[in-house]
Amino acid sequence: MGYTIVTVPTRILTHKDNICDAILEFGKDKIGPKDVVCVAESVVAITQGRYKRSEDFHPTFLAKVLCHMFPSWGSLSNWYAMQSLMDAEGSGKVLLAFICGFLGKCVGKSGIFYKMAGEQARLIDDITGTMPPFDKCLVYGPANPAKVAEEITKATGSFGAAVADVNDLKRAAVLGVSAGVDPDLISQILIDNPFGNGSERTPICIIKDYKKD
Amino acid sequence: MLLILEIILALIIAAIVVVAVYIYTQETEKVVFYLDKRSKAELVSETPEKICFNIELPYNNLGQDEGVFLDIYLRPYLCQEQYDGALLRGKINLKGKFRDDDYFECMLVPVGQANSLVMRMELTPLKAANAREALLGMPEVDVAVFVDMRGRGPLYRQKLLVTITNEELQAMLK
Repeated sequence: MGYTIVTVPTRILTHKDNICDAILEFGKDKIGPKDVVCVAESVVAITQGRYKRSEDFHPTFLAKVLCHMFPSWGSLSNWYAMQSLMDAEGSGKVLLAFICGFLGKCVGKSGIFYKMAGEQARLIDDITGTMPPFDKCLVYGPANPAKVAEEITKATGSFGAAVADVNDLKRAAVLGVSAGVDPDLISQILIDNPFGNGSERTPICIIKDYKKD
Repeated sequence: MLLILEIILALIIAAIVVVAVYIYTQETEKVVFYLDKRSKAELVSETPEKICFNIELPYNNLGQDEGVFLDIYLRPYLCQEQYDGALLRGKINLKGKFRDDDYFECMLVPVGQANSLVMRMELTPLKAANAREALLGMPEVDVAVFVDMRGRGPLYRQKLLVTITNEELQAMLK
């Protein structure tokens, strides 16, 4: 695609970090005015404190029932993950989404639940989904990713920024971008997951010369 | 109108019954630890100040659903009232993925995937002259292994007791 991607190693970031400060601390000298700074969504969520341990949830009867309707490999297939979704999006909304999703499946239409249950239904990472020490936590999707992208752009002086959810299965979802950045293009550029897996500790990457003259 | 309400009520009750039966019959994870198939103590290193040895503990998920190890840790039941010659400590992790720290990284336990945990025990002398003497004088000791787990349902804990005999420790040093 013709874009150079520079990865930025960091230490483990926590809820005590500010994502903009962390980007400046570890990658300031690598960021230019034509670049786009990309950040992994789970790291943004962690710096926002959007994670909880299983034992911090109090699963309701509804969560205990609904989780059984999802395949065991899914992120919502247990009491705690389902309760985390209900806490984030509301029990009524999740129940309605489930009923509509079920009816949709009966007529051969899939994906309705995830469309109706709110964006957290797609973004919640169950335990084991994030690197230590957050492997024992359920991690929500980040809050206001577009606003975070704008703040990163302003703090770093880059052309733009993006918050993205990328994995090794060739899936790249851009959750938020700053003004002037094309999320579809960013998604294509990040498709090979330059963030790597968690243990590589490169939650930030820079797309060099994104803005062409 | 009454008939329609009755039909709706019947459908709701039928749906509840179907869901209840489905959940009740759904298979769960069933992680089994084979204490009787554990390895004998295997020497890792020996110095006058410290002896390290491993014990492998095999397990398998015999259920039909995925489980998760949230945390695994151990506690040797060797008290000074019983034996003050040595201090026995240890940590535990997945075979082939041993860590230098005391952390246990959360891991999935897929159905039918047999594997082993490795207990890494470290013995240092207290009143004994050196680690070898401390180990050879040590009585039979139970080591409690605590396994925090989860499947679809509630968090729960398995407690295993691994008994290390004096005979196997003596055999290990030969």
